[in-house]
Amino acid sequence: MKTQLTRRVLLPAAAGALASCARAPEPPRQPSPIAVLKAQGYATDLLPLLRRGAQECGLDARGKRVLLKPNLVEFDHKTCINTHPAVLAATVELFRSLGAADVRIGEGPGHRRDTLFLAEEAGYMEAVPRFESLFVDLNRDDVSRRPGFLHDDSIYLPNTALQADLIVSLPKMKTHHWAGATLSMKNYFGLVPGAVYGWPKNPLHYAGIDRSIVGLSRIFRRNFAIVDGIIGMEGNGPIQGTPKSSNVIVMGADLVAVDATCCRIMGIDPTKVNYLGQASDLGNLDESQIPQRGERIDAVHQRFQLIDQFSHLRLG
Amino acid sequence: MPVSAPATPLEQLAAARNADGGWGYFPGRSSWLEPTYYAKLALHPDGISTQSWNLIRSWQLPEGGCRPNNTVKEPNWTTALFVTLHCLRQQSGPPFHAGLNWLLEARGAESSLLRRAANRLWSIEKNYRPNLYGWNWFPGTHSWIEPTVHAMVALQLALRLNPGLDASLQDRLRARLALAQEMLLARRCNDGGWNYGAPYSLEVELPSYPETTALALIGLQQARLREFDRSLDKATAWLESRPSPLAEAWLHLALRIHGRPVPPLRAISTRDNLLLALRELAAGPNFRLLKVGSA
Repeated sequence: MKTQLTRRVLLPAAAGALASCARAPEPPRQPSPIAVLKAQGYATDLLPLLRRGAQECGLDARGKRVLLKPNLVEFDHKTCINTHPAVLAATVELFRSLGAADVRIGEGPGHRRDTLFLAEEAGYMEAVPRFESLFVDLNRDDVSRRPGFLHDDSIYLPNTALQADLIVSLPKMKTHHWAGATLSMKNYFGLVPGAVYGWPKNPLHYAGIDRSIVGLSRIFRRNFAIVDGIIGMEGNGPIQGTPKSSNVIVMGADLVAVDATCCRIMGIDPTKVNYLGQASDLGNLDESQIPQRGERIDAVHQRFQLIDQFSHLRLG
Repeated sequence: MPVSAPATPLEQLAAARNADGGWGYFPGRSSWLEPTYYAKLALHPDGISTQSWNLIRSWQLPEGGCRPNNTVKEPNWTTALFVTLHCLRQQSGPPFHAGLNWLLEARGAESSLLRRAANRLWSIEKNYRPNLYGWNWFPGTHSWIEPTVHAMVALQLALRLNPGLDASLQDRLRARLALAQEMLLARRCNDGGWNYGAPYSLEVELPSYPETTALALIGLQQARLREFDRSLDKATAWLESRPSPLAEAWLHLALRIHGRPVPPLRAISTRDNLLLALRELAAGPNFRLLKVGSA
């Protein structure tokens, strides 16, 4: 097969090379426990499972203002683009039971402007009691300017996200046609306000998707992730791919370690995923630094189909 | 105990006005240009108070572009809304001209020589013509359907409502409008509707959406093409399929502008000021404000 020299190949490589040159020596880091939990389906009671994962990861949410950030992109009944409503509903209950002071749900979809309608179509209103009173459209929230995005640049971000004590990324386990995989870190694109940057948030693409993923993760450092991998998406994700059953939920506080673990489950080598390589100073990528709780990766491993441009990411 | 009658949408909208004269996206939130613009159109721009007008004017930057609210320091796509409001209020002073010139200078970054060369050399996207550009949401990025349409409406109204504009300026406006019209037509999806950006990504055909199809039809209201019927029929079909409240409003507005019959808008309950205002604009007599007339 003829390899095309494209922007997709050249720009991430150049950015990665520059980032690795500029990086300071990494300090010794604590291990990042990650819980990999088997879930048979969305109809089962997910709350006990999430409680177990939270305990395994040492999650403490007492007294915290928590923002749950699902991945709400598009509604298409033929596929599975969004975080499943059952996962979101169980997560709301989890954080309430853990003593969070305030639990909100926020999302700023990348191209759909009618966020509340999207949430309704996706089944969120039915699944989460009083959903509307908990929900913030992050595309149209009031904003504040934050420095430190991509070195010298600043970025406007929604006050609801900036004021949260803990942001819980609730992505779907999916492949992505620009980034390779879209997991807990890429999910933070939905924190960027469309009212300032548009639908889609094209400045993030211009700055470089990988760099922007890492840039946002540098700003939001109080995180937890619960990845919906019960049914993920493979192939031409994040919208036009095909459903892939993995029957797994992945949880952890270190988003780099969470995404690296998800990649390994998906049959992707996380060290070859550009944004993860650039984020190695933010969390643990190395398997030896990720104590696995729950299932072993080889017990839940799936081979997610990759589009040709990302075939080089295949693990082993 | 007597129960007061529920407020009409227009009363609800009027009551949601902030103390500074603007509207937030939701009641009690800080004012932004976009919901303020739609609120003013729904309530009629003749009725803009001095306070509201001063607030809108305060968002214009020295170079002519407008920032979308008090916090944001950079101009963006809302400059088109600022220019449209000036046109509708027959305000043609320096702020109007500065805004108009900013819009004329703004363009999708795909039009840059570097981007065009890269596209040609590396075949980044087939079926894509970066020489046909419109307007972006934020400076330095690509052209997209929605901001292009807002800018087209502003420029079309500037031509229609300001016959005294300098001839060379009129020529520049017409040239940008012709280019934007060509861009919209080139980006139409195979089903006759429009996606947010282009009809293909990575050589995969993209679906069209009701909101962007309606917006494109508003931008193309001066394009009298026979093949347009397919797009208008698609918009009509969407309107009959219970789309989102936002899509319904845009479709309603677009079809009315094109003289197509529309069913009444569904009754909804919302705290979303922009949605409330847009639906009132689409259903009421003020939809004509965005009817730019024949070319």
